[in-house]
Amino acid sequence: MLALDVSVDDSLFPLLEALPTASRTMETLLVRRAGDALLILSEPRHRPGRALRQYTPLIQTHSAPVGAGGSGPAIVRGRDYRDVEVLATARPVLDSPWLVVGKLDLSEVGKRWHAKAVLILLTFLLAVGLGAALVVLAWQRREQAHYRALAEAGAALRDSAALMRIAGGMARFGGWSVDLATQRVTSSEEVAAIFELPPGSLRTLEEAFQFYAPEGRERIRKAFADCAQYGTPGDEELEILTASGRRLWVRTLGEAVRDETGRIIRVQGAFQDITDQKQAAAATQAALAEAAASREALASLVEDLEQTTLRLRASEEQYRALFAANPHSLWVYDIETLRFLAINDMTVASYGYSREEFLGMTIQDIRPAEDVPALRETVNQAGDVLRRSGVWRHRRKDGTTMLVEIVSHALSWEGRPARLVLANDVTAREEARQALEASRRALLSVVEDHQRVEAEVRRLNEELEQRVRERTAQLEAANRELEAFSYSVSHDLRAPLRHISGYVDLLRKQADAALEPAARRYLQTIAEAAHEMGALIDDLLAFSRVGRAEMHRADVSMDELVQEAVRVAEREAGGGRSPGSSRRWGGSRPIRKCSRLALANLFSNAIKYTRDRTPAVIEVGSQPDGAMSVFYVRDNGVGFDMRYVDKLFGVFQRLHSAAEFEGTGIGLANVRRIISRHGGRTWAQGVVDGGATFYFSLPRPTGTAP
Amino acid sequence: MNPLRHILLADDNPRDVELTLTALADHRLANEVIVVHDGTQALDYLYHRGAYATRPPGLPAVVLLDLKMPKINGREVLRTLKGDPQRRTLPVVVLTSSREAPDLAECYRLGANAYVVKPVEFTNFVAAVKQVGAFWAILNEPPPAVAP
Repeated sequence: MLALDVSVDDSLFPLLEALPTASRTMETLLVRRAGDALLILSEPRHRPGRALRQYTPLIQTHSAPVGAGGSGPAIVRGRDYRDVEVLATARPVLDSPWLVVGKLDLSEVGKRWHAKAVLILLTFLLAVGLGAALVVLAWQRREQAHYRALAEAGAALRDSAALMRIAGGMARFGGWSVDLATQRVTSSEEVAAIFELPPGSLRTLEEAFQFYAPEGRERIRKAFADCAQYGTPGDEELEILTASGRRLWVRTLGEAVRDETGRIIRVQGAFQDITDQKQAAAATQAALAEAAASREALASLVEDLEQTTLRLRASEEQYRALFAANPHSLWVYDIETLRFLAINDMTVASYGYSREEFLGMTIQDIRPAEDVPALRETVNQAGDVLRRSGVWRHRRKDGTTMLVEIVSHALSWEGRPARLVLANDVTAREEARQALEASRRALLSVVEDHQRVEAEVRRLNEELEQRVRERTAQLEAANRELEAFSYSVSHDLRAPLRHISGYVDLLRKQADAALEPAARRYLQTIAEAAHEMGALIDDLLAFSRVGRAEMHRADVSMDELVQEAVRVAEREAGGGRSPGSSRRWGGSRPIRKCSRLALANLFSNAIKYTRDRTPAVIEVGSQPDGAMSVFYVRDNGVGFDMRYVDKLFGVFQRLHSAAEFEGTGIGLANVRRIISRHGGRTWAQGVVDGGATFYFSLPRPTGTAP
Repeated sequence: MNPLRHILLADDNPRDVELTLTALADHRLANEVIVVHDGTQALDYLYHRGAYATRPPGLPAVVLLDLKMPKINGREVLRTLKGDPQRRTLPVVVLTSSREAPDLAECYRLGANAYVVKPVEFTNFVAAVKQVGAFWAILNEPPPAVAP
């Protein structure tokens, strides 16, 4: 270290005097203090390109400032950034942290002792002052530029705010802010525009929330609450319902604003209508999906094509196999030459020719000679594509024939018109069909016979019915005649009787005294005969009326019937006689009227013919006989000779004289008639003087005991 | 009691007429008996027509009517009388040989006042006629006179 005691005057004056001088080492620097370090703002002379790099220290001082205590700036001795001994002085630049530093290598100072040193120093000082002035000027200019820039920036900012508004309007993008203390909402015009509200009319947070669609309302509330409470930034995409009711998608951004204490005082953010974006996104999505679907479809088409190719290849093989291995005889022949072009295995097996033989033959060769013309005709028919040619006779190699059903199909075989023929051996079927046809014909003739017989039966039936109708009509006519007859009998036959009786009576009254006893007896006989005739007529009429009697049940029981019959019998017998035996017959069940009539008749007969018996025993009873009930009346009376049993039930047939037993011979005829009309039968057994038993049967009404 | 009114007897059989008249006389019925032989005469008499156009006025106490008569039969006569409001109240006793149910039913349906079957036995016949005559010609009070 060189220690030099230099007088400023001596050292610098010469430098100043020599100004401008070309000092080799003098340097003026503009620096700024940065803590202990110095930042060189101007370019160092000895280190070009090092401006604005920090140097610490710029000048290492190791003595008291040179010239301290003087009126001018202090000059210090130290080492500069090159570690070279220098003399330096510094002056602050007004209103700035900057310093203008001038320095000179001590070595140069040493060379020019007095004059030059002073000159250099003066020059240096002058340079320093000049530098400082320059710096001040530069500073001022810089300040002006700064403020101008600020003004320009402010103008630019205003312009950009306007631009932002326009852009916000176009992008439907606005800002908002909520003061948490007052809950007041401030929002830009765009926000109101999105809500379709007049500008500035949105006041409260709750109002704003109500614009959100119900499904998103909770989310926006929570996002806002999180932001207001914890400062969590919010970013929600939700739907709103505008004042006019339109549904829009909006993006709401929010961030917390804190005061200097860190407390959240405001929440502010942006608000944007993203409906178009959403729709665009959706459209894009749809387009993408469509594209994906198309791609998939294409892929699947390609795949299908590949599979189809594979299948085609497989099916071609299958079809070839279908021909070759078909269980039916198949062949292909040339339509023009009639030559066999292809033969399947079954044909070879069925016809007995080898494949090679077939390929040298025509289709005429497998026909009997007599069928060839018909074959030519069929082949020459202008072709249906599919032709069912019916049943043909084919000849095998061994000469046997078979019946085949031919179906053929036109096709092109190696470029030549050909037909594929399917020959189905139907020999067995045809034989069966013929047999069936024969039996069908046989059956048909049987059926026809049957139908003829049926028609005959029908005709006979019709004849029979016709005859029945005729007979019924005749019968009805006869019945009518009978009724007329009975009416006539009733009226006309009785009148003469009455007259006979009347006039006999008149005669007796008039001439009684004059008459001989014999004549009187004659008149008596005439009167009796007339009386008998009247009784006969009455019975006959009763008999004819039976035919017209209705069938119905009478509410009378067997017991009552027996009692009544006994009473009648007693009255007719003149009351002088009582029945020898009368026991309870044991039936309280109501009986049919026809049974009653028949029983009454038989009972009265029994009483009549037991007149001279003591005691007279009459037994009445019934017993079941299959579907019939058999009634009987048995007595111990005079009986009858079984030789005349057939006459018993005839009209006016009597086995006893009227002198023995009165009667008209019509009672039993009535019984038979009544019973037969009700589907029953009458018969009798008897022995002369040994009693008689009369029977009749009647169908038992269904569901009743006999 | 009314002055004895006459009886109209309509019967085509003269023997029956004689026997009936004998029976009535036997009972000493003093009533006059007018005899007609068929239904036409009966109606002529009752309606003052034909042969009876000039007969004295007055209806009989009773008509004894046989059913089987020539021309107009007894049933027709009965139907005419009972269908005429002027003659409806005139008592008609059917006196016939027929005891057939259809005849009976029909006569009562037409409005006969009685139906008597002539008995074959003369004694019974006389008794029957006597009773009929006595009842209808004497005992029975005829309806108020109608203007025939």
